[in-house]
Amino acid sequence: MPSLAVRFIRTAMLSLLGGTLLGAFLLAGEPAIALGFRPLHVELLLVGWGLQLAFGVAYWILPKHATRTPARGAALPIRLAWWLLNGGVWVAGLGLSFGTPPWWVGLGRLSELCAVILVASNAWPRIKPFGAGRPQAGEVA
Amino acid sequence: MVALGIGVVMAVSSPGTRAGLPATYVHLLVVGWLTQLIFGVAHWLFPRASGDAPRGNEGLGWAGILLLNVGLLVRAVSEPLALSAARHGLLVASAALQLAAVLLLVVHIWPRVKER
Repeated sequence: MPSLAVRFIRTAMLSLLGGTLLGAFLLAGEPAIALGFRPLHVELLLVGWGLQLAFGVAYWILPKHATRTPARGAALPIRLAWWLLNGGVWVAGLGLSFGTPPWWVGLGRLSELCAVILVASNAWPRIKPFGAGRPQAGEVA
Repeated sequence: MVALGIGVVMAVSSPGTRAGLPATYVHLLVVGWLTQLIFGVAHWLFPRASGDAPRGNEGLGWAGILLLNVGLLVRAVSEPLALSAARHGLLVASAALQLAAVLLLVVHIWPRVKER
């Protein structure tokens, strides 16, 4: 498993723990305070956990490029995507929880969108039929 | 399937009679299906923990799955009930069970998320 996939998957598991802890606080805490954190609970679990785990596993497990290096595509955009995705989760989640102006939440969502575009750009050429992209017999790689 | 069945009930029932059902529906899908499926696939697919115990401490995994499903069941039963102190106590208990379950499952899978 490449180190970037480890980073995504471990952060996803931490988001799951944080989101679940916040969910327990929503039910057990003082409702006037606790219920305000519902948007952060949802953001952590849907984007921070579900989406981030899918990104980490996809980066690790999708077919590698047969003739290009690095075999999993450039690492820098994926590293950047990790920052954008997690920054976006916290900016949007806290923004919605604390009632910040819409542009602040929009900034968080834009950050998440940029992360999705970067990861999708990496994954797209790696989603291919078995054997596609490999050099044919007699062809120089 | 249970979540989707609740979805059908929500669609055909009046707003007054479906209080609590939307939250139950979401939790059954996200926790009961998605999260449980993820941990199941991770248990099968992730790199081996060690030669002696390739899938790590399976007892943690079993305990996690048990707590997760008991917590989910308690939640699914208590969430649609009318507001009361008893319902609130059950909801808090279900949240505690699910939190403990997630903690066990993360501790179980964590060592297998590693570079080769």
